[in-house]
Amino acid sequence: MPLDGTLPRWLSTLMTNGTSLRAQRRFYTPQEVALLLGVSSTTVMSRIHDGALPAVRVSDRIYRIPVPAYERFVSTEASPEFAVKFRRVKRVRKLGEAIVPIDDLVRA
Amino acid sequence: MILGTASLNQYAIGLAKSLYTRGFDVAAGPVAEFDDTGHVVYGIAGRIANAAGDPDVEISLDELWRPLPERRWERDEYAYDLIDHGRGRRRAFHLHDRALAEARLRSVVHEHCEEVLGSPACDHYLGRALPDAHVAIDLLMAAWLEPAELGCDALICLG
Repeated sequence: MPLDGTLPRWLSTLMTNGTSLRAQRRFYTPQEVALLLGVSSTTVMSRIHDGALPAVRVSDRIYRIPVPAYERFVSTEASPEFAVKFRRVKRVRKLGEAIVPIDDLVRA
Repeated sequence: MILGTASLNQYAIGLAKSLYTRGFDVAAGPVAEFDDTGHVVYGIAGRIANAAGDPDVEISLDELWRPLPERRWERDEYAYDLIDHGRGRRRAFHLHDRALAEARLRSVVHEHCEEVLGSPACDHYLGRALPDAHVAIDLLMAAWLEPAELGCDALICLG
């Protein structure tokens, strides 16, 4: 953040045109989220550690917060209630791509 | 990984919630397909759309669970996939077709890595066994957030 307290250009752009910036950026740093929320980085890290704000740990001290996760975090939308839908099938499907047996490779 | 019926359902619901809190649209929720043998395939798929409404990224988490006595199930196979449409690449962690994989790849687990979607430099890479799909979500999200290359050329190609 600039020392004069003004917002960085990317943050100003985000606040006026979030869609275009979202198309370019996929994650925020904890410091950027702190700026967006007007809280300290320590608070952001606390929310990451308590699991409220999903983040990807890149290394010991580096975290990335996915932009869509941040947007959901600040959203006032109520979380949906998930339930498992069960379906009886004749035979359960196979997972993944077929692995070609060695014999077939040799024949080919 | 062995779970009872209720725990297995809670696990699947937890995965859907995890994708949802990461910004994914998980409209279909978890789906469990079962057959007369007692095997169950749990599938959870999520996507994030770009500004135009087209899919930017899709994650699918599929697991095959085999029945054990006393209404318990053991995860027998999995396929955790990420398709990054925005950057045109793919990352995946698989365990399926055990006997065939062992014979053909000399490993029951393998990974997929495509710097260019649809044009893999190698069909199967040496994989690590993942303890559950929560770990897979973290790995797939890390791949999606990675601005540089995925690093496929650093993996060991099994053929």
